[in-house]
Amino acid sequence: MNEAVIECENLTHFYGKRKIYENLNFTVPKGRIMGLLGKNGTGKTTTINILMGYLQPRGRECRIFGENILNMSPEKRKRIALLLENHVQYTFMNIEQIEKYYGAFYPNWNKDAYYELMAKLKVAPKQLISRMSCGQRSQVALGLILAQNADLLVLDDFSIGLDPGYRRLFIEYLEDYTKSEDKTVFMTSHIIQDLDGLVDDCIVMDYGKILLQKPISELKKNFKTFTFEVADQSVKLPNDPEFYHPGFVKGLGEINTFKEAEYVKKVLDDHSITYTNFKRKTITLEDAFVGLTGKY
Amino acid sequence: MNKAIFFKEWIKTKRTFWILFATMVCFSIYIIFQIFHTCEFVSPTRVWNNFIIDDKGVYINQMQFLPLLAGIILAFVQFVPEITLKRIKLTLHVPYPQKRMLLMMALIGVLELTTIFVVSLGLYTAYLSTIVSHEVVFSSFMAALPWFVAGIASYILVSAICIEPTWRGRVIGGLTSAIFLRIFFVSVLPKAYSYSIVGLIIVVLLCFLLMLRSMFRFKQGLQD
Repeated sequence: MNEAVIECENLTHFYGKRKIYENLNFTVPKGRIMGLLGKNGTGKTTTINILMGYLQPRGRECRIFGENILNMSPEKRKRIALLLENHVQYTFMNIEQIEKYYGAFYPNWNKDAYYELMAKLKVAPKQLISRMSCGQRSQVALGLILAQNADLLVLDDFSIGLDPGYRRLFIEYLEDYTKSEDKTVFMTSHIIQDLDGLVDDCIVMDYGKILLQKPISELKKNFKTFTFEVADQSVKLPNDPEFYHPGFVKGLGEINTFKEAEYVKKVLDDHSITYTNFKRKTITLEDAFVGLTGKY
Repeated sequence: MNKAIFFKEWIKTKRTFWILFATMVCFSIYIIFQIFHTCEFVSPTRVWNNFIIDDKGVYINQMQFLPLLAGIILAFVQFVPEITLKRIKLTLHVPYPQKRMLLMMALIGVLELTTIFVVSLGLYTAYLSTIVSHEVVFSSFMAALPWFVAGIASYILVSAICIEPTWRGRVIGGLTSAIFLRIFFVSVLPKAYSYSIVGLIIVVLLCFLLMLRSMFRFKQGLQD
C-alpha cells in the first residue's frame, strides 16, 4: 500500500452535546482520489475543517504528510491546495490580482495553468471576482488550485451551485490534472454522480460513524440491490445485519447488501416471507449511496 | 510574501484609506483656517489667549473623535471581508506563519492609520508652530495625542472583535473595548495624559494579543 498522506485516528467530535462522530479512523493513501460521501449533517465539512486545522477535534488527532494538523508548518501547508465550500475566494480582487497574490507564496506556481483556464472565462482581466457568476468563480478557484501544483488537494463540495457545463469542465480538468500528476485528492460532494469515474476510493459516512471505506470499483461491483414482489406488503422485511435499509419502494420489496442473492433468499425464507420475481437491480454509485445511507 | 500580504490588504483598504486621509486632512485644514481667520480678522493675541488662558486643547478638540472613528472604519473594511464566508481560512492556509500573517495584516492597518494621523496632525502642528511658541505647540500636540492613540486602539480592538468567532465574545469584546476607549476621552486638558500616555500606548500594543486570541478561538472552531 502507498504511504498515507492523510491519517485520522480515533477522531471524535461533538458540537456542544451533539455527537458528530466518535472514534473515526481513516487513511488516504498517496496518489489516490478519495471521496467523502454522506448525507447533510453527517460531518463532511466538519472533517475538512478538522483536517485543515480550523476545528479542534475533541479526541485524538489527524496527520497530514505525517504532521499533526493542529501545528502544521507553512512548509506542509505549501503542499496542500484547499477549495472551500461555495468556491470562496477573495472576491474583492480581480483574476490578475488574485493570481499575483497567491503566486508569491508558492515556489512551484504554474501561472500558465491558471491563465489557460481563465482564457475559457468570458471575463475581462480587471473584472472583480465578486461580479462573476458562481460557475466563473469556481473556475477561478480551480485555476488557483491547478497553478499551486500541490501534492494534496482538499476540495469541499466542489460541485455546489454549478450548472452541468461548469461541473463537467471542473471535473474534466481535475481528472486530467490528478491522473497525470499523481496527486492525492480528498474531496466531498453532494452530487454523487460527479464522483463516479473520478474518485478511486470512497468513505461513506452516516450519522456518527463511517459506514464503509472501499475502492469505488469494489463498491459498485459488490454492492447489490435486490427487488422482489411480496403479496402482503404489511409484512416487515427482516432487519438482518447484512442488509442496509430494507423496505418497500413503489410496491416492490428492496434489499441492499454486499451479500449474494442466495443469502438474501435464505433470510427471506427463514422469516417465512413469500416472494416472487426476485431480481438484482442494476445500480449506479448514487443508488449504492442511497442504499447504504437510506433515503431520509 | 510580505509584499503580497501588503498588496492584498491595500486592495481591500485603499479606497477607505484615501477617504479617511482626505477627511482628516480637510479637517486639519479647516482648523488651520479657523486659526488663520482669528489671526487675520481678530488678532494673533486672541489665538495666544485661547491656548494659554483657555488651555483646553482648543481648536484641535474639534477632531477629538475623528481618529477613533477612522480606526473603527478601517478595521471593519479590512476584517469584515475576512470573516464573511470565513475567508480567513484562506488567509490562514497560505504557507506563511499564521500569527505573523495576522500581525502583518494588523500592522498594515496601523501603518495606514499612522500615515493619516501623522499627516493631519503634522499639518496642524506645522502651521501652529508658525504662530505660537514650541511649548504651546507641544502642549496642543499632547492634548491631541490620546485621541490619536485611541484611533489605533479602536482599530486593533475592532479587528479582534471581527475575528472573534462567537457573537457572545464579540458583545463582551465590544463592551470592554468601549470602556477601555473611554479612558482616552476622560479629559481634554493638555497635560491630563502626560504621565499616563506611555503606559496607555503599551496597553494598546498589548491589544495585538487579543487579535491572536481571536484567531486561536477561530481555529478551535468555537461557535455560538
